[in-house]
Amino acid sequence: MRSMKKMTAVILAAAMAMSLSACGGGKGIEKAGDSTTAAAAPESSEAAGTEAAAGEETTAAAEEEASASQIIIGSAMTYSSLDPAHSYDWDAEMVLHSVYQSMVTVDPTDESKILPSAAKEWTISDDGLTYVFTLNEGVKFTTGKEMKAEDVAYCLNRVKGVKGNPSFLLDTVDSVEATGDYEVTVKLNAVNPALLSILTRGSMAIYDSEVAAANGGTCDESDTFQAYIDANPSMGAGSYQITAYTSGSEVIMEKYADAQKQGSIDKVIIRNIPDASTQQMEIEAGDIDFALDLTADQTALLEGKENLQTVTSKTFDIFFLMLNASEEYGKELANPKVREALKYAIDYEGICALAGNGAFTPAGIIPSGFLGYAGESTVTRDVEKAKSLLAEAGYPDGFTFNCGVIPDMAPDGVSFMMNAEKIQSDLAEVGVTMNIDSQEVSVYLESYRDGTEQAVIGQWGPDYYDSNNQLAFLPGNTVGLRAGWTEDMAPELAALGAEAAQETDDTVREQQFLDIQKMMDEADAPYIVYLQAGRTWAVNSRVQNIVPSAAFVLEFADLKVAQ
Amino acid sequence: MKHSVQKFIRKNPLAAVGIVIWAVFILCAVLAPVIAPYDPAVQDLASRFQAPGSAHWFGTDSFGRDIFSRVIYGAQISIPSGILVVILSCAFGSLYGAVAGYFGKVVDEVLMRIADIILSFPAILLAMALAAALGKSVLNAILAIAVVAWPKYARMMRGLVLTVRESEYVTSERVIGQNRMTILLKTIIPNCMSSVLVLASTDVGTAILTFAGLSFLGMGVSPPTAEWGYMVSDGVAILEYWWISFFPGASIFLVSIGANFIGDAIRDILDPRMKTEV
Repeated sequence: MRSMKKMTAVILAAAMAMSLSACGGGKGIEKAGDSTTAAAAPESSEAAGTEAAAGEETTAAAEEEASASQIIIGSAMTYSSLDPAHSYDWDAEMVLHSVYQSMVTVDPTDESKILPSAAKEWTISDDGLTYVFTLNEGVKFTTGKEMKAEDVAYCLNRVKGVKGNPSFLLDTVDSVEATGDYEVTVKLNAVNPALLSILTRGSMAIYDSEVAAANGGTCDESDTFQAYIDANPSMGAGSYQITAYTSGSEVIMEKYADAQKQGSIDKVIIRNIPDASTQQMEIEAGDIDFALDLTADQTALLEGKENLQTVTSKTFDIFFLMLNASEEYGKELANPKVREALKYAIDYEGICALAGNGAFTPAGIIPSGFLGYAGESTVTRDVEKAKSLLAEAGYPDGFTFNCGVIPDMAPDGVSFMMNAEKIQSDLAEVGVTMNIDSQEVSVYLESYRDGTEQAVIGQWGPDYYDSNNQLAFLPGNTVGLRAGWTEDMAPELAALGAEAAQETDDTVREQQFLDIQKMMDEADAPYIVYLQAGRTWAVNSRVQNIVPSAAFVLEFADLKVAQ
Repeated sequence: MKHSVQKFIRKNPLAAVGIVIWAVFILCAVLAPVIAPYDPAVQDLASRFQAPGSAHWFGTDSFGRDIFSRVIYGAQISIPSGILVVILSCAFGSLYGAVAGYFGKVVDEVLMRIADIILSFPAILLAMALAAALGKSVLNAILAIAVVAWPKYARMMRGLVLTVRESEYVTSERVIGQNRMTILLKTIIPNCMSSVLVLASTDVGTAILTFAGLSFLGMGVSPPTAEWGYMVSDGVAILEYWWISFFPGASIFLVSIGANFIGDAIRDILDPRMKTEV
């Protein structure tokens, strides 16, 4: 009897221990179970075909699929709405780009090249304040209505008017008007060399304005069209049409037969799989065709596996250590000498090796691929130099500071926590103790945006693909203020930045951006940019013709599936 | 002496196993700097993800840190925190329950309903919420777990006090005019303590497990501190490198189960009434 009881105790303890590991790991495993069952039916890979044949009901479905091609993309969704006027998430770009046309688009291989899309041509006035676009004729929305200038004007005015996340992109736009059936005139209140680049964004999508106006669209803050657009099939003119969207869970898109650019795959499904290890399991099992959020350590394991390919591409996302320059919040870090010391204490090669996927350290705030990129960083780790700089600054025995980190986020597969742990270990060697202060995203964003963090591990993905966007890092600008860097701390830099923002001549701009970065380096700006991330996807090898883009992620219309 | 040790092992083989496990882990915790072959915080990117082998007995993690050394240092966190949780919750809970039971009536009602409120929350969720609100530190995690763990001691103590309160020796003390507080502290509580200690001893394992659970979920320790629960969560991202999670997980398992074995034995010795067999 007693031994029975002890046996029960043993089993209970084992169960408790297991339930512990199931807490986090299980989160993934459970999900995997769910989606495997869900995926068995619609999956169209050969493997699933045989699987489906086991059940009577699914046989018919499998046959149907043989003729209709479909791919499933596993992605950690960051968006909760697909309304262009509110969308501001990097991964929503691939949906918006495929579902809607914008007036212009970018070359996926070179984001500085603007290509025509809904607009076939455009002219810019000499003062740089008036843009006139001429639209293609005969383009039809999925609703059957022809796309005209009034739709463009409506959609852009709606972006500006609803005061959503992307509204600020059009801050320099004074008015958008239909000046003919197929002619759109955009007037600016200040010269903005980045305007065309801004107009390529998914938020500048064009859809049927009549449907919008009839369903709550008012182009001001009382606008309620967002609820309608998220609940109904999309009404754009892109290669695909959203036929079903469940926020935070799934987007189903089907080919739009009358689109200008025809896709080859009939159906594209994006499924939210937040956990990277679950994505890895599902791509290995063939349940999904794309795993977009794997870390370099995971893709390394998948390299060379049967039925899988890895696709590496670039991003413009830079990762940095922000060191607050204000006396109040930065404390020791307010001293430029200290910031210089830390710059030499960090092992950049090591961080980039850990991040993998082709990550490297750029010399400044302008990422590779942008005008004014200053090349790879030439700063290498020098522990002795860092120590002597610290001694000069008055901290021969080092000091302690707090660094805010979002623990479970890994944009582009680069884990903030891993970066933080590596930097912590590097700084420990020069005697500086960095306390990692893990924070919930919302808490982190609030205190970071208020500029009250002593230090943070931060990431910056450009809002549009022009170097002007990076001027936010200058003293007195958004990111600058978050780092306690006010205009009067470096007035020359602030002035040069303001000048560059309005310059239209690319050769002059390039020199300005190079100068800005040099001056930032000399002033020991309150950021240490330690890497520009690459991106690696694991993709089922049946998918071909994959053209990744740093701007819109992936063009579904390009993709082909091997039969 | 030798004879009695043999007798103990024969009578309580599982308790002996538990004691050995705990002896080993306590030794690890105390002698960590001597036993551990590597510094638990030092990274070596050249030897990341090495499988268990002669250089690294338990392999290395994503930063090339030696897992064997980290598991050993982890004992310095888990074992004291588990014990501290039990000491805190047991001390507070039993005093609370004793007061409620002894004074009875309104005091009892009010005190026990407060305890019920805490019991009505799922323990791990409340501990998580508290740990998150208090901020990330080992001490805060211990406090958070203690806050959710004390009501069961209070309930048990109250029940025991209710029976002891009416016993003849308490009545006689009252008759000779003894102060009420003195009766409670010197007579009643000591007479109820053995059963509470039994509960406490079986609770150590649960406390360690809960603490590891909080760290696993990102509350409790901050890097680079080596802590078992945190190490387990480190390894679940890539299950191919099973050793990153397995060894700290196995340590949590062994220590919790060892605590349960010992607790069982203590119960058998201290509290013959709770034996189910005759």
